[in-house]
Amino acid sequence: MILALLLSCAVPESKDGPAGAEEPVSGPVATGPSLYAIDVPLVTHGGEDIRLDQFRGSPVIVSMFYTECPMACPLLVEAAQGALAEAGNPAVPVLFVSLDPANDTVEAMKKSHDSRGVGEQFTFAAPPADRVREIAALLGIKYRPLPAGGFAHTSVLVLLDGEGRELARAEGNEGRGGLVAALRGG
Amino acid sequence: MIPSLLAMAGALWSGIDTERVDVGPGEWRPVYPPSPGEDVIPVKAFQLAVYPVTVGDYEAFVDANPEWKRGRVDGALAGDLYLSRWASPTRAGMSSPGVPVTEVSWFAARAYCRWTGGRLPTEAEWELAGAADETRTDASRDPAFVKRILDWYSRPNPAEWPAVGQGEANAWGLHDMHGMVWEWVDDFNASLVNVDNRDGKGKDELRFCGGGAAAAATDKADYAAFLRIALRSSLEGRSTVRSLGFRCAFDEEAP
Repeated sequence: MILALLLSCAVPESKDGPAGAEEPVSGPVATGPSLYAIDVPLVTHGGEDIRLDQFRGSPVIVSMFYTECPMACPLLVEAAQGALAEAGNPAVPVLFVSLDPANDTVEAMKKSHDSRGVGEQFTFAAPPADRVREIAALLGIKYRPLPAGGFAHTSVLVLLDGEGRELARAEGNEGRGGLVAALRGG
Repeated sequence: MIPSLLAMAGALWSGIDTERVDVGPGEWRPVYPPSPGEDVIPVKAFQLAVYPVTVGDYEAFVDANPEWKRGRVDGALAGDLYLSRWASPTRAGMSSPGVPVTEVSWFAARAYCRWTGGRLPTEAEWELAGAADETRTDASRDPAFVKRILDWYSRPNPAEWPAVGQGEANAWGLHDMHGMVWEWVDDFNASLVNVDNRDGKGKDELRFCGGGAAAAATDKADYAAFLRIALRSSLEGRSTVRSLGFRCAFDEEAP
């Protein structure tokens, strides 16, 4: 058993489900698990109560962040803006879900939202504290609170289709070409 | 939240095991500190279930929460092996209701613990609790203790596990922390995330799998803990593994 587990380090984990090979394809096709498999309430930077599947029915860019994040999160916001600009500014909503609901109050999120000047295409929102890990797990985001405050976390933008399944992702500085192409295609 | 209180009351009525003991406070020294400031992790006092969750307990959960029946669960939340050895979607059909439940995903384990008013333990909590042998709360640097765990890791899985609670409890009063099944923790995939996460994906796993991590481990004696991190880091939230079960942690006073 251990050998199998260690080997899995080296081999990318396979996604379930056969690829629907016969269907005519226009743009990317998502077959993976849906973020909307869980139902989670969120409070937005505007103080609005929404659900995790608020943008069901249309593509959405989703990421996770926290407002006190000094470096990676501002870069992530800029990366989302950059990807949208490169794709010709499609009206695809962007949802940033907080890793830190204890500190990311409506006021803190509003302040962060205002200071980034991202506009209403971007929604900052916080889930209940005990649901954060489930959202992160479905998005393939890993994170860990740090003893000195803040979090170590995966910096990633995930483009979901209308059913919450991943169409493309842009992680770290790996480049966002795939994400931009998918935004154009969608 | 009234709905969750009702659910908890339902859980308590259903006859599931809720026996738990106080663990900690203490410190966990990860065998592989993910960053220089994380070589000692303080752990607050908490309660941990005395036994892994059994198939009998899990049957009660599935009865009360049919969305977690085999065949009903969304594939995003549990893999194909979910409860695959059960005789039916609602009954394990094993030799004893005391057999530990396995082939349950992290999402399912989380839902179970929430239903009972608890949560999954964190990795630090589990490791603190699992560092104890029968007489000492921290035996993790005792080669004989570590060897006992490694010997278990190298044994093949039995066709069916024995019922929980047959051996001796550890110094906290916990049964079957080792020698039975591996157990989920809430932050199962967190300990290898780089602090400097602007470098992008994959680097943490590369550092770990490339051999550097074994050398960087602060204490090579606890190779068993190293293997547990390797196991956890290979999992996804939907993973359903033959030898992986769970137990719940609690923050309030034991009833």
